[in-house]
Amino acid sequence: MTNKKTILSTSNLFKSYVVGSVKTDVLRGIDLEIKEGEFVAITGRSGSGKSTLLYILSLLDEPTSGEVYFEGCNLKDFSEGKSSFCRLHNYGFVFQDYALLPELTAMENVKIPLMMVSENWDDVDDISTQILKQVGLGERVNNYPSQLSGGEKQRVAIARAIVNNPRVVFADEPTANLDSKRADEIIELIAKLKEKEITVILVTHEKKYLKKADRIIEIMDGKIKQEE
Amino acid sequence: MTLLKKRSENRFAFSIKMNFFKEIKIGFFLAARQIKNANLWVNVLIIFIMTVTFLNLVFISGLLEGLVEGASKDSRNHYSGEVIITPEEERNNIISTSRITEGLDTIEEINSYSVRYIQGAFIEADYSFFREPNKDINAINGTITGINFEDERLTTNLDKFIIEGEFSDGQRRGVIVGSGLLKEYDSAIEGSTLEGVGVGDKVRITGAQRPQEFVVEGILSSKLSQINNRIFIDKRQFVELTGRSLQLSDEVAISVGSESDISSVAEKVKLLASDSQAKVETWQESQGQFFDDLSTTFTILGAVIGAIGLAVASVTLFIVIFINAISREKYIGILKGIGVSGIIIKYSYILQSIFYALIGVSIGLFLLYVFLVPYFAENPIDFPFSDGILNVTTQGVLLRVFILFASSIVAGFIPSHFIVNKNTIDSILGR
Repeated sequence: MTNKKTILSTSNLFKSYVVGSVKTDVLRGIDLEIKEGEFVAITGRSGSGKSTLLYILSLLDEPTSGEVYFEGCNLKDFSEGKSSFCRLHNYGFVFQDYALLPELTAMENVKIPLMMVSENWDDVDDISTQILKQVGLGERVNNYPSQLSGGEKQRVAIARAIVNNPRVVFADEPTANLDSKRADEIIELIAKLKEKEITVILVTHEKKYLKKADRIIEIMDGKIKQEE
Repeated sequence: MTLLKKRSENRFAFSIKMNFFKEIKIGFFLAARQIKNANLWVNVLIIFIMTVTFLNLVFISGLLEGLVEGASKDSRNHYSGEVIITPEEERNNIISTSRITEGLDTIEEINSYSVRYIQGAFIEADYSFFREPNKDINAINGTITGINFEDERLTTNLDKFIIEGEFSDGQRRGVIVGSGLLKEYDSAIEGSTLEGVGVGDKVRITGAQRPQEFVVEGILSSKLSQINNRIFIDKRQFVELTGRSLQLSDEVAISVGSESDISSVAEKVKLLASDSQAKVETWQESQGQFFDDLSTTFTILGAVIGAIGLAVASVTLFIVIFINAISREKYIGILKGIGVSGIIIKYSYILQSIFYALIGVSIGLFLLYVFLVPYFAENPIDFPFSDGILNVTTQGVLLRVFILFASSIVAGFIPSHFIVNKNTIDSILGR
């Protein structure tokens, strides 16, 4: 891993929330580096700041101070347009609650990012269907999210995350709402992304899934407690 | 994963400008899916608001303009004709009337004309010598108009206003009385109307000559005061009553066959009447500034009422779309999260608004042209000075369609703009 180049890094990252007169420091000086193709698991107790770190790394949120670099490029001053573009072309997301659009079918949910990047839409349906087949949902392409089980929804979310062949996939507790069997299947799917040289950053507090990762970063009270 | 495309080496190059049409297409895709899956009653409500707003915009101003239009049209068709001759300012009468009428007979474009002689007179009912001594006098000071009944019928269709009795043929000593002079039809100021006078009753009229008795042959009713407040008698009997020469007339109403001939006829008549102390005007000129001002006033009034209706509808639409956008804040956040640009999300909401406006306006146009305009043409609203019809012009309707679309676009844009500009993760997590 050490020979691979750094794809994401942070420098002295702070994030605070102010509610009324109370200021809460969620992240307190995070410095980390993530290599290309690495499978990194971020863990920690509830409220430790692991999800906040993921959101900042993925450009969904902004740090209060400190820097975030993607391939050496400082993301601090990115406009909304640039952030959006960066997420579309380089990042994929898997959320805990699936975050699918209810009025779109499984295939339509998957094809939206593809429509954004494709000049020709002739084969976006075919590509989306193929991706869904690869995650085991070949028979469910025309089903709406409300017609899918939790595990199936998460598979759609994974298909959507990878349809644009991203550099990094961020997964925020993707198994939290699933039973053990479905959770194992989802983690297997996510772990397989590594084979395609996709960097995976997984936030989880389930110890059994940490073993799948190349590296584990434990966050405690907004700081990195240890890296394994 | 074999189908995944080969990763580009230059994916971090920020050519973030996307093709406008592509953005619209994706926005359309999102809008279509949202409308398709939206609650049916929400869709129905928004379309209903759009339809009512459109009709309100067209209907109120159309009715107000129709009021003036109706009054103006009535005045032209039933009083002035297309060209009217009246005495010059500070002159009492048109002189040498026969010379004018002889000339009018030679102008081919003229369909008909009617010469009128107008004078004040004392009109009595219940004038019997044996009248009860304490009973109030049933009499008024009114205006009598001497005409040739047939000429007047051909020129202004005066006979169409008869509501009781029949139109006179001028062969008997009969009069046609405007309903504005009769208490049973017009509850005007005490002493300005005759009481209990109907068809077949006798009235006594005193002009400059001795009083003469006439039978009421018919009663007419019109929104035009020039008709409704006059008593019409045959012009020969007018002469007997007043001693006036037929050469001294007060009005000559001229009916012209074709719209395009009005100006040229007016010019020809001006030449004829040049030595007759007469003023020749087209119907528009005779209505003067008053109708123009009234029309402008009503147009402004219609615009103000329409603008208020439009503002209320815009706010309603804004609230409906805002609530819709708020309830979908999480999904807007997700779209942003997966890289859909804010402008595409805004387009999707604007396109939804345009869709609702399109359906609302289409239904409104259907109701307008299939039901409302024909209905009000057949059943005008009975206003005091005019019959209220709907004055709907293509230009006016198109303007209102444009206004409604413009306000819908704004109502769609503002809420989506607010939501799109929120922090992405806050939207996704509902914070």
